Amino acid sequence: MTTDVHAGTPTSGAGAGRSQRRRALRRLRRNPAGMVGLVLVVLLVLAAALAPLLAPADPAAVDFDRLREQPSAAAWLGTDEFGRDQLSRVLFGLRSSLFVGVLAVLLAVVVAVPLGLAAGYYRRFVDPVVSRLTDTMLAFPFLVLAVGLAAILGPSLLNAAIAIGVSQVPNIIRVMRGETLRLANENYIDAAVAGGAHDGVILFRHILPNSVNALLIQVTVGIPAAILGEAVLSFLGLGVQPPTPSLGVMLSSAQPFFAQAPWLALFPGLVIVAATLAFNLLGDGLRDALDPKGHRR
Amino acid sequence: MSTTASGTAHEEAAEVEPVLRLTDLSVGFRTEDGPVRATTGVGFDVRPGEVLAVVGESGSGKSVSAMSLLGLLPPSATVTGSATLAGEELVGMPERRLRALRGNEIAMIFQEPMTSLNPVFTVGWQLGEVLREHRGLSRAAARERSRELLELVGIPEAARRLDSYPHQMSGGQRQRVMIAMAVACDPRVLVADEPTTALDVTVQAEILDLLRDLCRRLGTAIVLITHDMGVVADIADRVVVMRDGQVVERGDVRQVLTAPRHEYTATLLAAVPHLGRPRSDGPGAAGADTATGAERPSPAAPEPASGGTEPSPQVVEPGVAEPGVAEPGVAEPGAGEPEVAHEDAATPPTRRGAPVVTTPRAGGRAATADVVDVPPALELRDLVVEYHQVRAVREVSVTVGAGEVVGLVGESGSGKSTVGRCAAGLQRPTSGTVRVAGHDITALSARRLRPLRRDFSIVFQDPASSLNPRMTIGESIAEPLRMHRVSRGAGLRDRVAELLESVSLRADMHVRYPHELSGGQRQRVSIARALALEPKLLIADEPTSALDVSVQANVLRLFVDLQRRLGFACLFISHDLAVVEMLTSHVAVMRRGEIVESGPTGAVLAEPSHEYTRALLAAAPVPDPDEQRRRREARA
Repeated sequence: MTTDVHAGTPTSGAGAGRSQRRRALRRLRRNPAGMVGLVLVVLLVLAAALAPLLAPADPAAVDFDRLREQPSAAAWLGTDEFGRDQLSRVLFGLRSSLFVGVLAVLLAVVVAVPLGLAAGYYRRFVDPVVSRLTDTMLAFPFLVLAVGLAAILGPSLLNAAIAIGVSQVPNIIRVMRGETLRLANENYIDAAVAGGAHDGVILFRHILPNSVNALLIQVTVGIPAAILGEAVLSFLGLGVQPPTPSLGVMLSSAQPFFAQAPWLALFPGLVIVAATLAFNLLGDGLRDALDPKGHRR
Repeated sequence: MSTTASGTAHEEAAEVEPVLRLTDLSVGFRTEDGPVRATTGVGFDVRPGEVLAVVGESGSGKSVSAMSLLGLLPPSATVTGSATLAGEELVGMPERRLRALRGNEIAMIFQEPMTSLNPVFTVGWQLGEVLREHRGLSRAAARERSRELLELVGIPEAARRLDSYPHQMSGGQRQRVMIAMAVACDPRVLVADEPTTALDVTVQAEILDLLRDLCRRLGTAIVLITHDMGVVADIADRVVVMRDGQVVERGDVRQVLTAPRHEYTATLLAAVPHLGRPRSDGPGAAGADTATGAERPSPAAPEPASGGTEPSPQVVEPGVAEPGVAEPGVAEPGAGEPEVAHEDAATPPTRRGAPVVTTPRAGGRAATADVVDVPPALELRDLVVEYHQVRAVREVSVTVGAGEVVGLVGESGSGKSTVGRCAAGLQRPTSGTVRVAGHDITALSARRLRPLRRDFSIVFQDPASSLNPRMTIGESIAEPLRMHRVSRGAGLRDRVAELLESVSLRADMHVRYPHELSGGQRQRVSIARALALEPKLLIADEPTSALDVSVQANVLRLFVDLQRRLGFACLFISHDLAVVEMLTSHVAVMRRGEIVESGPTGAVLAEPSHEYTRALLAAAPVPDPDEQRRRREARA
C-alpha cells in the first residue's frame, strides 16, 4: 500500500489496489495448476538458496575411489565422473541455473518493455529505429547471439546472464510493440488522453497492465530457455567456470557416459524439466489470477 | 397492393399448419457458478410465408431460443421442451441429421455482415459452396444458380459481382449476399438474428423490403429476432415479446404495438425515441440561449426518480414516460410531419445562414456576434481530414455556443466521428481550425494541449472498450482529476463518490471493474469520467447507440438532466434523428464528409431542405405498422 507504484496513489485506488491484490491471490489459490507451479517454484528457490545447508558434501570435493557410482544410501543421486556427490552438485547447480534464468529474463524485461511500448506508441520516430534493430537481432539465432555476446563479455555467470538476457530482448520488444499497437486503438486510451493523461500514464498505467498476459507468456517461456541457454554457454566454457556446477554443465558433461551412467544425465535433466514446468504453471496461474475478469478459459 | 397481399396471406396462414413450433422450450447453461437458466418455457409457432418477430432487450433470451433451433449452442447448454420443424423434433436430434437440416430446411442470417463472410473467397465461390454441398450441383450449375440468387436479392450486375470479394462490397450488399446464401436451398424457415442492426437506416429499409419480398414470393417463414420496435412494425405479422427468458406477450403486430397488454411491452414502446415528439423541455431550448451554467435556472433538477441509485438501471421504472415525453400511443404516426415538431422550433427557420451551426463558409463569425462575451464552446472552421489521399471530412464548419447542445447526424462513413475526434483533440485535421472555448487547439503539441483538456472531454459509443478493464471504475473516474491535480486523497475520494452519484450509481461501486457492470452502467461511468473536470464542452459520439432502448432512455434522461444542471455545451454525434431531436437545439446533417444541411433542430426535421435529410427521416422506422406501410408504399 505504501509501496503503491502508481504515482500519487490512486484515491479509491489505494483500497481497490489492495483488494485487487487480495482477489488475485485468492484466485491463484483456487487454481490447482497454478498452485502446483507456485509450490514448485518456491521449493526450487528454497533448495537453491539453502544449498550450502542442504548439500551433504562439498560439490567440488573430488573422490577418485567413487567414480560414477550408482545412487545409494551414501550418495543418494550417485557420483559423477570425478567422484563428486551428485546431489550436492544438483543443488548448487540449481543455484547457478536459477540465477542465470531469472536474472536474464528480468534484464530482458527491463530493457525490452519500455522499448516495445515506445516503439508501439511513437510510430513515427521510435518505431522505425527500434524495429529495425529488433529485426537485425532476430536475424541471428538466439544461441548464436548469446554465444557471441558471452564471448565478447568474457566467461562468468553474470556475463552469461547478460548475454542470454540481451538475446531475449528482441522477442519481448516484438510482443510488447504488438500489444501496444493493438491497445492504442482502444477507446479507453483515447478517453485517458482526453482526460489529460500524459504519455507515461498511458503507457505504464493503461497499456502495460493490459499486455500482462502476453508478457507473462514470454517470461514463462523465457526462463526455461535461459536455463538451457546457460547450459550451452557453460558447455562451451562461456558460462560458469569449473568446478562450480550448473544443471547445464552437468547435463552436457554426462553426455559421454549416457550408456554406462544414465543417472548422471537423468537427475539434472529432471530438475530442468521441473523448473520449466514450475515456471510455466505459475505463469499460467498468474495470468488467470491477474485478470480482473477472473476465471475465463 | 402489398396491403392486401399481406392481409390475405395472414388470414390464410391462420389455417395453415405452422412449419415451426416451439413448445415449452427451456435452455440452461452449466457454468462455474452453477446452472443458469437462459429461457424458461418459451413457446411460439410460425407458419409458412409469415414473419414472426421475437422482440426483447439484451439478456432476454431471444437469440438463445433461436440458436437452440439450429443446435448452435455451446456444449454446456441443456435444452428441454420441444421444437418441431414440419413435425420433426429438433430437440435432441442427432448432430448428423441437424447438419442436413441446417441451410437446407432452416437457415440463419446473422447480425454482422462484416464477419459472416470469409474474406479470402469470392462471393460466388461461397454461394456455390452451399449449393454444391447441399444440392450436389455441378460447378457450372452452381455458378448459374448463384447468379440467379444474387439477382433475387437485388444485387446489380450479378454475373460480375460473383467474382467480387466481400471487402469489395458495402455492408448492405454483404448482408444481401448472406441472405442469398440463406435462401439458396429454399429453406422452410429463415432465422434472422438482428439482420439490420449493424446497417445504416437507409440500407436497413432496403434489406427489410427484401426480406418481406422473399417471404411472400418463396413462402419462407421468417423468425426475426430484433430489439427494434420500428423494424417490428415494418416487417412483422406477429410479435412475441420476451423478457428474462420468458414470453411476456404475443399477438398480432398491430395489437401489440398499438394496444400492448403487458406492462413491459408498453414500457419498451415508450422508451423508443420517437421523431415528432416534443423535446423534453430540451436543454438549450432556443438557439440564442447561450446561458452559462451559472445563469442557467437549475432548480436542483430532480434525479431520475425512483431506484436511481440501484445498480441495475436496465430495469425500467414505470416512470419512463415522464412528463414531457409523450405516451406511446399519443405520439402520432406523423413522425417528422411539420405540424408536430414545429412548436419546438421556436427559432425562426432561417436555415442556410442559421446562427451557431453554419454551413461551410456561411459566415461563422456573424453567427456568434450576439455572444460577444462568451466564446463559443467549440468552433470548427473548414475542417478537412484526409486519410491516404481520401477526404473523409471536407470543409466542415460547426459552431457550438456555450451551454448549447448541437447534433451532428450522419450514417456510418459520413465522417461524423472523425469530426468529433478532431474536436476532442484526438486527431489532427489536415487543414482547418479547431477552437475550443476560445483557444485554437489545431496545431498545439500534446504537451501544450494537455492543460487545456480540462475544458473538453469525450464519451464514446462502445461501453465495452471505453473503460480500462484493469482499472476499477473509481480509478477511471479519478484519473482526469489526478492528471489535472484537481484533488487528491480524501477530497478525490469524495469527488469520485459525488460523480458516481450524479450519474445515478452507488458511490460504493467505485471498487467494481468494468466487466462487473452492465452496458448502461458502463456508459454512466464514462459520462461521469467525462464530466469529472466540469468541462465546458462534451463531445458525445453515439453514447447510447449500443444500449438497449430502455437503457438508452434512462441514459438520455440522465444526460439531459446533467446538461441542464451543469450547463456544458455538447456536440452530440448520432445516427438517430429521434435522439437528436430530443436533445439538441441545432443540428447539422453530414453525408460523405460534408454538411449537407444545418439549422435549428425543429426546423430541419420538420422541413428538411436537402433530399438526404428527407431520406434519412423517411428511412428511420417507427413503431407503427400503418405508418411503416404508408412509407413503404411511398418508397415504391
